[in-house]
Amino acid sequence: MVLVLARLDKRKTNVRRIVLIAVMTALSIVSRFIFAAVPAFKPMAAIIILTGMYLGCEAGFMCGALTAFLSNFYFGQGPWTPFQMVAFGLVGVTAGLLASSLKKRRIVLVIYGIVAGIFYSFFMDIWTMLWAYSGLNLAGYIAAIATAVPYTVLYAASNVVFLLLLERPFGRRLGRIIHKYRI
Amino acid sequence: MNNILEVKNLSFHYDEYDIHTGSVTEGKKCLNNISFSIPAGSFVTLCGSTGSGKSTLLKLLKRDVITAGKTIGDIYLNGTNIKELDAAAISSAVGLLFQNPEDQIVTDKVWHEIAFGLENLGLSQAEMESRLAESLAFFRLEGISRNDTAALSGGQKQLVSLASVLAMYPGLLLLDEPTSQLDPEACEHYISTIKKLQSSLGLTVIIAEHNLDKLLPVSDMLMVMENGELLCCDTVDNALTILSKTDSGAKSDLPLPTRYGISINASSLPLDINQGRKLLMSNKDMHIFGTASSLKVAVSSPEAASSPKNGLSPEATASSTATASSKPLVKLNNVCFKYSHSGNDVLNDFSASFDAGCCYAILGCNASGKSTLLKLLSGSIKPQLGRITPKPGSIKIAYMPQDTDNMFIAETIEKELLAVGLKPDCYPEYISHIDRSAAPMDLSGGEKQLLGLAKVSALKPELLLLDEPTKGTDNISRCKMLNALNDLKQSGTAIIMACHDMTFAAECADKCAILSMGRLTGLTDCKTFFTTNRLYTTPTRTMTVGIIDDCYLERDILRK
Amino acid sequence: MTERLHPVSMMIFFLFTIILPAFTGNPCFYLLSFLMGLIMLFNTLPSRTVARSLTLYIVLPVLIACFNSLFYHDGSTILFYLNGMRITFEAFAYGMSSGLMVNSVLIWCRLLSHYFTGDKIMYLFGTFSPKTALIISMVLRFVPMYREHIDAYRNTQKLLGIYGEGTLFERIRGEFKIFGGFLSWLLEHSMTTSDSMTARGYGAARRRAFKLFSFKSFDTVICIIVLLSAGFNIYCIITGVFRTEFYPMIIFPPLSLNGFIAGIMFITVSALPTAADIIYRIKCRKTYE
Repeated sequence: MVLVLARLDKRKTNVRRIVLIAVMTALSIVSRFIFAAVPAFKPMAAIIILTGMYLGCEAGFMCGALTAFLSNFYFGQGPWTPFQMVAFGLVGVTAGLLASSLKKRRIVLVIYGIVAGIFYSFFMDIWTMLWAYSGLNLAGYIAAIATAVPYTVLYAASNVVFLLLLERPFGRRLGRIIHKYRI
Repeated sequence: MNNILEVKNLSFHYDEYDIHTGSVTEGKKCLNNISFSIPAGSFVTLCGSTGSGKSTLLKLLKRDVITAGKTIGDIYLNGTNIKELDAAAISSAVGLLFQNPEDQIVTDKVWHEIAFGLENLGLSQAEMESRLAESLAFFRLEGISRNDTAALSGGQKQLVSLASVLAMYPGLLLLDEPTSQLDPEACEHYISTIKKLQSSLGLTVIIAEHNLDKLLPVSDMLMVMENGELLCCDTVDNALTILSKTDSGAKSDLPLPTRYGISINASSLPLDINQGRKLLMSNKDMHIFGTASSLKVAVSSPEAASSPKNGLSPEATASSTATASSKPLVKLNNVCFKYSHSGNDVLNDFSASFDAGCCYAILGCNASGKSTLLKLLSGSIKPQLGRITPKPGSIKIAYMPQDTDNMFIAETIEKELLAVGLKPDCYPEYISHIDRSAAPMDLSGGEKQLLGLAKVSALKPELLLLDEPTKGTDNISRCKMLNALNDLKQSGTAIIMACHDMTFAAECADKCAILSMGRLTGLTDCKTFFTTNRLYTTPTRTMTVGIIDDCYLERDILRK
Repeated sequence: MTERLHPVSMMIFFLFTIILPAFTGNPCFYLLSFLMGLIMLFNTLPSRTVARSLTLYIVLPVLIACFNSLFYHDGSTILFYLNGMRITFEAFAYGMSSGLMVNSVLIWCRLLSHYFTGDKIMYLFGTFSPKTALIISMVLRFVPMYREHIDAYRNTQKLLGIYGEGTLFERIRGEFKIFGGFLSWLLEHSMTTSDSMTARGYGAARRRAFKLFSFKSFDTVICIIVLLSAGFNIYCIITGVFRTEFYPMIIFPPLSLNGFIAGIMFITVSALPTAADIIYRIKCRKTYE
């Protein structure tokens, strides 16, 4: 994680892009606040995916990792933080890689939303397994996945819902800004 | 000649980008062949109506800030063409500050914000520390150095931004309407700080602003821009002489005494109230026995005399008597409100009643509870003690907040107004000059206020609440707003506005009062209010006290 | 004193207290670490807040223990049969032990997030990735601003009475309209922020982060003691001083001098900041009297 961030630092990035990364990260943290009362149904992943789509891999990764890291300062830091950072970071990077096809067809976006939700849930189950069984344990992992099914469904569903609801307003507004200011 | 800045034949146009085709075309010319030079250590005020190119000029002088556009001509900083300077050199040599206090704060702590520019220059830790200490001491920010930037007031934010730029040791400071979002107290403090920088450190300052009341007396030079052209750039006296002979829109932004001087063709123009009083004294006869202006004074007096009880203008009296005789539109009885359990009462046993078809101006200093009162009336917060009758939900209320940005949610103005059921062919006249397809966020301060007003008045409210409607506006927008509010009033809407702008309150309101110690003190008609007050009244009144009786409106002493 | 620690020594301290106990595999060590964390937590937060969260720390191991015994049926001591499944004491005990370990990690993480404030995070990031540090700082500035602004924004729109009324569907639609407007606002304003950054020379030279913290003698002490103790504890872990077997039977390691010393060392390290805090508080009180 540290190495990735240090590598990203070497690259020269437009000021406006940096500000936009910070803006999107802040926005996804704020969205976690807004939906704090609802378990698992949160727009964070959707916002991270949109960031990756419109601002590129690097932005997607930064936004994902920092959202997990910084929002946990408000919601409780724990051993799960690094896992969340990696999981969200990867969700963002992949969105950046698939940007062109995600933008073209909404169905791809929906599928990606579902996959990202499942991926996130499964990835976090590794954490559950590691800590509850202090080590790799296939049976434990399957048990963890089984108990987390409602969460997995909620993650995937929230991703789809928020991606569909947010994609158009985000796309239009970010697009306007990106064109207007040549980012 | 020791000129810090020399600009030769500068022209600029923004690129226009078409989202649909992706083509880049040359947009409207924003600056046209501008040449001027500024001696080192001057305090320069840059004025001109909205869209005259002030901001663009300042950004160009800074270089690097504008990315999309074409520049022709040369800018020399201390004799060097700025194209040849490297990025670090120009960023420390020229400081640029913007209008909105929120936007230009980048980091979360005050110390970090001030160190931000130093970090960018890559200075050593020891040098950063000493410059930080220096800035904190100079701007007296020591007490808040470890605070969160988010918790600062608007005035403090502007000072922190200023300190951050000054820590980079600029020789030239460019300020783009830095005080337009501040209240009068913070504004005065800010201007005096800038003046101190210029007079005690020898900094060259160029400040673009609409409200020149406090600026002009401290300026050395005045630059006037009009439609992308430079009308003049000269010492204040010379520039005013030139300006007075034109019919530039910038004229209406000048301080009252100066406009008065222009209106009577005085040989030397007064810049502040005291000079204005002297001029007025020597021309006293003209006002009492003269023709045009004395008539106006005469007209305004009997008007007030005809309705001695409330001093309303005749049409407002007519519409309000119908409802007022039965019962007031809104009534507050012994309302108390405080924000925290241990805090002081913001409103304390507040009682008042407001009639339909009447405009009320609530004056008072910062944190006196003006905004709280409006929030209570709007129903967004509930009184903790006391009662508001009728309940806020039962009459149609519209509220225009201080930050008009909050009112807009659509991407274009057309969609924005369609949301309140206003079709393009029934737009009120005062927004007809605004491009319908523009984004609301792209408008100037005054245009945003007008658009906000169009939006709230389309809702046909019975009670309209305005919080600082003239903040950040130029004089032209204010005149338009004044007419719009008068129309609303005549249609029977009650208007309550919280306001710092006395001149506007005097022109617009029927009744005024100061909100002080949590109560509304002395709610009386406008004329009585402004003519009896000595300390807290319109510039016109302070200028005419003891010279002309009962005169508080600008039109009473300004000749058309 | 804890909050005055240099970010580096603080990070080393918390890495030690969070990670090391988890690798010992010894329930006694878990319990020790948990109790030390609890003491520090009581010293850090108001007692009532800590007391309220105690329920979680009690329920969690029991839950994990029940869960484990439902899925694991190894172990020689059979407690009872449930639907034909063996529920064993060992599986329950293993679950309890894991629960204690999770508790210990949780409690130290909680302390970490309390003491690791924004400026300390930024300091750490600033040394190897100034850009990330800057983004973090900006996010920390934007989050409170956005939260405040979105409230004001919604409030204004509600007062205008255009959105926020009607059926549930209409209300949700309204909320998203408001969100869209908010998005326009923040994107547009963020561009001025970036102009302001350019104006102050961002990207003009190699950026160097301002260092707010200095390395004090107390930091040196903490670092040395932590590293020594960590070294000895790791040696003990490798040599199997703490190794505990759960299946088929619970076998605790024999009591050894090394294990004892390691325990004492852990107590010393984890109690150090608390002790310094208390001494500091006494000194302060003297000044005020």
